[in-house]
Amino acid sequence: MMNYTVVNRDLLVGNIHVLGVSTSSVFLIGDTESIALSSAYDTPPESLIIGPYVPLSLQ
Amino acid sequence: MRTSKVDWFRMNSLTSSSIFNIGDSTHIRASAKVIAIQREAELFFGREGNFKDYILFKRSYPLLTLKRIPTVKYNESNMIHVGSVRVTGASTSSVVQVGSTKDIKCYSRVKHIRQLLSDRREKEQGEREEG
Repeated sequence: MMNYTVVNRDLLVGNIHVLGVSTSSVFLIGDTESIALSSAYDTPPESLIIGPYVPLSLQ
Repeated sequence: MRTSKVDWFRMNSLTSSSIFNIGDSTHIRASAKVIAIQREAELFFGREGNFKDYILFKRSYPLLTLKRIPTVKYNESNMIHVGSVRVTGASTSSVVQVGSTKDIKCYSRVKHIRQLLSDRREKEQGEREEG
C-alpha cells in the first residue's frame, strides 16, 4: 500500500511566458485532484490529395 | 486548497472550445472535433466536410481508470504567487486556469487533409476560382 505525502511550502514564480496551449492540454496555476486528457491527431498518407480542387463531402 | 495570486495576466487568443478561467472550479470538461483542410491556394467551398466520413471521429475515447492513492497534504503556505503570465494562444479543448479545481477532462480529435495541385494548369485554375 502506497502512501503519498505532499508538503506545499512557499511558491513564488516571477514571469511565465507561454506561446501556446494546444490540443487537449492544460496550463494550471493552482491545485487539482485529477486530470485526464485525450487527443487524436490523424494525418495518414491518403489525406494528402494531389489533383484538381474538389470539395469534401457536402453537409 | 491553496489560493493562487497572479499580479498581471495577458491572454491573446482563445479558440475552439478552450477555456480560460479565473477562480476555483470543480469539474472542467472540454471537447473538440476538427477537420482541418489546407489547400495550396486559398479556397474554401463553404459547407463542406462531414465528421461521419472519417473513422477518427468514431473512435471511442480511452477510459482512464483513476486509482486513488491515499494522499496527505500539508499546506504550510497557502499561496501560489506568480508575478506575470503571458499566454499567446490556447486552442482546441485546452484549459488555462488561475485557481484550483477538482478534475479536468479534455478530448480532441483533429483530422488533417492537404490538397496540393499536380501541375501548373491546375494551379492557375485554382487561383482563378479563388479570385
